[in-house]
Amino acid sequence: MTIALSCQGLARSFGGVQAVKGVSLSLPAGQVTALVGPNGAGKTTVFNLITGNLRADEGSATLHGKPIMGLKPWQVARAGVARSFQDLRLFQHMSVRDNVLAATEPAGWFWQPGGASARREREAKADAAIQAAGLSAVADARAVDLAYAERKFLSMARILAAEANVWLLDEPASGLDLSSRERFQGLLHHARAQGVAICLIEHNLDVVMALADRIAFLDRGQVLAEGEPQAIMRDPKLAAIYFGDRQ
Amino acid sequence: MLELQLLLGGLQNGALYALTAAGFALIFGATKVFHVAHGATFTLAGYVFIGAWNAGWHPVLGVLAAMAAAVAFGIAMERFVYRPIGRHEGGFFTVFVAAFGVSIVVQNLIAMVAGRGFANVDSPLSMASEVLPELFLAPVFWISIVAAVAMFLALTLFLSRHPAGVALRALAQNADLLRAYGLSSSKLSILAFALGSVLAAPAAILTAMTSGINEAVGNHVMLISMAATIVGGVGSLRGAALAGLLLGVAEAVVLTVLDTQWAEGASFMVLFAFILFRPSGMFGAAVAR
Repeated sequence: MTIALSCQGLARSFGGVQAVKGVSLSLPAGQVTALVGPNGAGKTTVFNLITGNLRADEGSATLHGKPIMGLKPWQVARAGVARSFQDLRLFQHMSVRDNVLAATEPAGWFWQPGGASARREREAKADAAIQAAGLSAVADARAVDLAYAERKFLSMARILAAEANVWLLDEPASGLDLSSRERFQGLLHHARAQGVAICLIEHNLDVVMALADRIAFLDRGQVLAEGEPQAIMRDPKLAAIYFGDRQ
Repeated sequence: MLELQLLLGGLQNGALYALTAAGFALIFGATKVFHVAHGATFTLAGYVFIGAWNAGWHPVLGVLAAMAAAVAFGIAMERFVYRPIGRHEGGFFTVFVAAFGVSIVVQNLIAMVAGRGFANVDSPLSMASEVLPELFLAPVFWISIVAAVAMFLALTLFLSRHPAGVALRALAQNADLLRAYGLSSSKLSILAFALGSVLAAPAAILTAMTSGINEAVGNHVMLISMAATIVGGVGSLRGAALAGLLLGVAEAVVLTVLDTQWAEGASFMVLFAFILFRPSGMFGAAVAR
């Protein structure tokens, strides 16, 4: 089992509140790891620490053995870690195609590496991602004009186009109807088969049980348990914490 | 015919305002930096062209030198003024005061090097000839219109087709998300400043060839650019360009009925009218959503 991303002892506090306390996590390639826990457990903060959106007070993270802690968010992304956001961030006034194309833009400069052939390749990659996400029919529509589920799939399309080998997905299935959820699960099954290491924050336990190979249960900034989904979800103490019945 | 003469003059000024305002709007839209020193870019580019002309350089070299000076100044402002302020989380007023200070320094340096007062370029292209009875137009009129349209079209094409243009539009909408895409916003900011600044150069050169410029011309240009950005709708390049054109024509219309000192006031009457009745500007709805 190859570990794609690994973090050790991540810690971060805000003022007097310790949001993340010594979280260690390994994301194996070709597996879905679900990060589960009640609201405020520190799940999104862990994502923010890994991706460089927040600076960790302590801890380290490596991607395929190379340290990524201290890198800027764009450097972490370029190294191969793609993430989605809980609040569904898109370039609202750009077309679906341009939203996805931006994920394949390599330089941010006039002179693009590879010339016209590389550019055609990038466009083909974007089109393939749009098609895989089922958005070909709305490729020219602006993101702001899409239905909610389509916007969710757009955020997946740009992750597909980025060809990252680690995906950090923050509540990607929230608000999706059953058929959209099945489509979404199909996308993730396919990515997993391709060897992508996926970490999923998700409150919908049906989605978690359908997708996750492993669960890491977080509460008050700490990993309380880690293991197979059935075992974690059968634990009455964890269930009590998750459903707010803690003693 | 005098009215038509003034109107065409206004159209020429408006085309040049449109270019400068589009540059300011591009920088502001992409980086959210209120680049008050954009007027200084204009002045600097104009004086570099005049200097090159007076030194006997080929006009094409003069144009390239003016463009290079504009780009270098814009990038230097981004790297050495705005970025350090941003790193220390300086607010809008810090940026404003710093940029305004640099503008004054540039103005005084130009006055020291080139002398105070108006400077211009005497070119055959500035010589007006009678195209219709009592209607005089110089070739520079047509050059201004063609240059403004061509540069604006090239910019629009770049922003819609070129990968870096798409990334610049993305930067304008959500810099945080852009970083999650793996793109460096600081590199794109430099690109925005380079592109926005280069647009001021042809406007400065053509102004130097017609009415002439002085060391303080940047203040007027800056006010017009700001007014055009607001009237056009913050974030809309097309809006800023159209508003620049509108302000140039408005100045000319005022000249037909009032005295010359009211010309600049006309721009601000248009600005106040928009602030009162359509605060989001001509194309502002797209930004507000």
